[in-house]
Amino acid sequence: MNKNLCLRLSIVLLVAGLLHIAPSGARAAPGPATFTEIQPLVFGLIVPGAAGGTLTVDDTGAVSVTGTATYLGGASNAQVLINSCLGSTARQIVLTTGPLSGPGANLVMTQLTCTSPGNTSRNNRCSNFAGTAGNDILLIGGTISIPAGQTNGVYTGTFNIVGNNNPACP
Amino acid sequence: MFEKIKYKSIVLSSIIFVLCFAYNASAANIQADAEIVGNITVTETTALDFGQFSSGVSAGTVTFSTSGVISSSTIDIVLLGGEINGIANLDTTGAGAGPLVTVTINGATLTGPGVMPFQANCEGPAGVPGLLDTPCTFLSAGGTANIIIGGVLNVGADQPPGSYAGFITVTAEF
Repeated sequence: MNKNLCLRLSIVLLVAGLLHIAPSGARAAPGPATFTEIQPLVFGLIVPGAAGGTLTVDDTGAVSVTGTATYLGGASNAQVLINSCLGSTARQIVLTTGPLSGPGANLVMTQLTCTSPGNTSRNNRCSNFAGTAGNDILLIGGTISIPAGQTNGVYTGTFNIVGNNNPACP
Repeated sequence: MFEKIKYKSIVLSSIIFVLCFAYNASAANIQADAEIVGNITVTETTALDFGQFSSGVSAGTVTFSTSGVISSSTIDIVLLGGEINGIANLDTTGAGAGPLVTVTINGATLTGPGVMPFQANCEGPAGVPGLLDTPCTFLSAGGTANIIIGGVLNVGADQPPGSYAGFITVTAEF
């Protein structure tokens, strides 16, 4: 490749890159999409019972239990604000479970579910949707496993949410 | 010199190209929590005592209400006093106010020189007595609560005199 062609190619790439990151008046504020917790995922008060079981809080906050576990109240779904570029399509929003730690052995979070605007619930991810002025809310539920004889007390932890926007924000 | 500039330009442009056209990725950790509450513990505070009475030629019953009123069903059974309602203490600490507590109680048999079957009932803090051998319920206040126990004792005709004893099973759960 001759040096003139290399130089022209470099200039073209450089200009293309600069145009891409230049602010545009038609977009929301520049920067990547962000997630903000509005309310945490709360599984509430649980009595394990003789054989333990599972407790599920769905995306709407409804609770169901299995086994001998008894739910006493206090559960709520998580609500997460995603601030994304106007009109962009939020893709690949992936949820990753994490343990809840406390006075006894960790409580295992076995699954997360997510409902994004205009979509049905998905397991461990949120469906693609088009961002609307940066104020979309994701509704998230989850399931924990409760062993028999679990030590009494409060258990806390976090789950991770990762998302990509395509095209990237200017 | 020009070769170095060309090489650096290509590298710099490539880097800018890759950075600008990469997806914008973001991540966050969202809080999650749960609270484990233990089963309700039940402790005897006071034993149920039907007191002293004499039996007669006719069989009958001695009824001891949770409000402390004792009565016999026949004139052959003469009540002589000493009756005490049973009291059991339930610990619902940690459950908070609101969850419904169900107390299951079952009578059994008093044994001694003879046998006398009985049925039991309970009354929670709300003051509403349950039916014989039927669960009573109340809303947890998040701490300890007492239930009062009464019952009906079946006395046989010419029941042999002496001391009789037995056990009542009390189970409490949310």
